[in-house]
Amino acid sequence: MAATVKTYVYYGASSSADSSDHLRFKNADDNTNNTTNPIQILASGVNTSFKKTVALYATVAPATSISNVKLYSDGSSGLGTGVDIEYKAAASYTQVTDNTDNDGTASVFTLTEGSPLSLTGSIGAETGKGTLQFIELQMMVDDTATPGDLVGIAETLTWQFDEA
Amino acid sequence: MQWQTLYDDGSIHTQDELKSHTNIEFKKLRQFQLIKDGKVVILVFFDGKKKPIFRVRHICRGLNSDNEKLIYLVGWKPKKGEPTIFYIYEDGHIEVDNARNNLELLPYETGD
Repeated sequence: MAATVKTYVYYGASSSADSSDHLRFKNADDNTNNTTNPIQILASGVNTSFKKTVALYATVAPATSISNVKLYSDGSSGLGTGVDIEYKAAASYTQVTDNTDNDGTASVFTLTEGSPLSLTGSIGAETGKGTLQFIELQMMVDDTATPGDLVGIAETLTWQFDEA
Repeated sequence: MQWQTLYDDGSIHTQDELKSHTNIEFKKLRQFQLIKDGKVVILVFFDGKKKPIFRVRHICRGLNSDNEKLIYLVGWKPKKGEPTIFYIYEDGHIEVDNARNNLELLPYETGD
């Protein structure tokens, strides 16, 4: 039987996770896609969301493994002026407690099909996330951003992985 | 798509039976077939020396969306030298290359 692999979004002290079909950056540690806890635009400088932690998770185990996992965007941000999303790969899950700058590696929009992020680790013939790295995402909102709701202006990230 | 194998004694072993291609007895392997809707998409001959390689490469756009493309990788790795991989796309076209995109070979695929 072929594997079933989901994207799990992790939150809370006990690293609760579920497989929502989208995620919303906000100032709260939950996976509720609503309009509460918005990110304020500061009078000056950059404000940040709580980080979002996601990972690939096999709900039906592969026959042998899931490996060679890559993540990339379309290379172009449609989020508007002053809004960006930074990423960082992490070996373990840590609960977010505030919107402290996560010191992301770079914008996710620097990741493209030709130059993706390559994750370390793999999933064996088992359910779960195995040794795969987590991805931490954080929205950065500069004072040049326009007030308003970004719902409907969603960006899409792409996973690529090999199932054996 | 599903694969099946033909051994040197004429026996056929399916993916459902063997589960993983790493369970194929490569010294007995003579044919590795990829089958879709009862028809052979590609048939690769083996001589008992080459190691079979098989992957399904998933390209998933978005979080848990149905927007997923699959590329089937079938090939072999000689004892020495680079692997040869057939990349079989869902539209039916096939590309032949080495190990693209950092394909990580399994110990089964590289060991003697």
